[in-house]
Amino acid sequence: MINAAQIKWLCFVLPPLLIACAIFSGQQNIQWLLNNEVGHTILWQIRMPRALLAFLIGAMLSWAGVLIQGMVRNPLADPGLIGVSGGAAVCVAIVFWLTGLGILLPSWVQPLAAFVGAVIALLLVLKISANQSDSMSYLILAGIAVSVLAGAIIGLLSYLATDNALRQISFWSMGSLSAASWNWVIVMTIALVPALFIWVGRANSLDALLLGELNAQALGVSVKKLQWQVIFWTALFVALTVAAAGMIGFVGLVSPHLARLLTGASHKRVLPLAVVLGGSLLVVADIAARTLIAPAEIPIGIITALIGGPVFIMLLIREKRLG
Amino acid sequence: MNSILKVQQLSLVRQQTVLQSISFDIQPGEIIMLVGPNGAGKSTLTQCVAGVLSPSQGKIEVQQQTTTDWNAKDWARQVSYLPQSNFINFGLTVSETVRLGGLAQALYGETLSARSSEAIERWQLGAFKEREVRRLSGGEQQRCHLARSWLQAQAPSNMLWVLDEPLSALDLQHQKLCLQEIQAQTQQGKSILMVAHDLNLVRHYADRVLLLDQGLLVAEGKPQEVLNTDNISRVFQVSASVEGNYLSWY
Repeated sequence: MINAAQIKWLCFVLPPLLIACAIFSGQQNIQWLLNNEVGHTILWQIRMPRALLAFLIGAMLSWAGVLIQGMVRNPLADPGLIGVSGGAAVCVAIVFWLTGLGILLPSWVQPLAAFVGAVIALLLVLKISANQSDSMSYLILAGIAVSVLAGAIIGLLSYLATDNALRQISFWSMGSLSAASWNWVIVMTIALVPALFIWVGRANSLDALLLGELNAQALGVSVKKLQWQVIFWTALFVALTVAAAGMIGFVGLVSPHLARLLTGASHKRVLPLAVVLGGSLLVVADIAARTLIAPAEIPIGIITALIGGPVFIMLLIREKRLG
Repeated sequence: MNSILKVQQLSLVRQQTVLQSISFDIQPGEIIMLVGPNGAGKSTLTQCVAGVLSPSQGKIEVQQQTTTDWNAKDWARQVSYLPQSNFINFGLTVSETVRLGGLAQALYGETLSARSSEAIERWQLGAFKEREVRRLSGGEQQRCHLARSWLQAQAPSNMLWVLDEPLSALDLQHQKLCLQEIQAQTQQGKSILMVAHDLNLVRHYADRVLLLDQGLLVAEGKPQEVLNTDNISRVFQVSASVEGNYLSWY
């Protein structure tokens, strides 16, 4: 267990350190990057926004994980696992498919479509698992069903898509930060900053929700309102990340869990730590994605799945042991 | 005397009628115990009275105030409610859980720490206050939630403590502790509404008893009057006899 002071230290030191590593890792040496005009462009227009975007996306996915896990009282709920990312992905794939057919759509349609898809998927999964005596298992099962359905629809769209759209859908469905830009960094920051103020103030209400809806309400929490806020922010975070970087799984599962292992379950400490760990995890995953088989690039979703899969199995075994 | 709680013609209909035209009141300092067979509507009634479930019909007044427009916080400031089921699937510690009892009053800092420490001491949780609640025994978990609910009930505005089967997991020693704390509350003028199954305990500790069966309030009054052999046989489908102040059934 680590205390509040150590969390603060970790939050301020870890992200800048890892982002600096990400910026300077690669085939070119630091001297060349700093003292050459092309190097400068690579540094400021490619590496810097990409490293920052990796951190912001990891932070958002982790945040969404903390929120959804708290709401459904299930530490195994991950936005990817319970179908939210799948829902967002279907709608983005539809946008790619339409674009492939020559229908011109404004750039804001993609994140909006992702948001709509995420909300629909989340509501569907919650509806299926509501009022079940074993709602935790139902949530995961409903999530798997929605994810399978989403996968089938994306498969169908890929089959029907033009060559160009197919390439876009395939590459994007494995997750990639290659579309990173300062615009995306700004959009993510705009979404993240108000969320910081909103959710840090609601940490106690989230803790109360861990006791169950009846207890939370008895303690003075407006449960329905809080649940709708969780749904909105989870869908927004997942939608933005899916629109910017495609399907990146397991970050929302692994980072909150790691944070809870380090600092306990209280959201006052879990939220900031999970956000930092999620961001850091994705920065490290992106360094691996860019450098392991350089000059080629491994899709980042594959890296996170390679880390997340075994961790998920470990979590299942641990949950089973806890009874 | 001004009642702490007044329930008038309360009904709740879902797929079927769960509660039907229930009326009663609670005076300051009274201990009211709700008894009845499984599925009679006892827990549902406590949920309505605590504001976590909206009735289909009827009126609930708490301290002479109508509750129609109350939000969750308003309810939590006036009524402390502990549901029957309180399992936590996450690693909240005893200390963190008890502190949530100060949420409705927005307690923080040293005030919250002092009050939660008092709650932990009173409910004999000091030895494992930093342990995860989910790793404790059923009785210890129950005491942890009782301490949280007790902390909430200490607010000056909070005059009604509603407990749904608070003794179900407690051993004899801690049943006694719980009943002593309940009696201590009534000495401050606060009132108690609790669900209980041990009819001898009800006869001993309750000021009044509400007997519920199939959503209907079938009897109300002093324990000796309500828990007679006729009522017990009719509602619980068992034969009963009273010897002295002791009730037995077979």
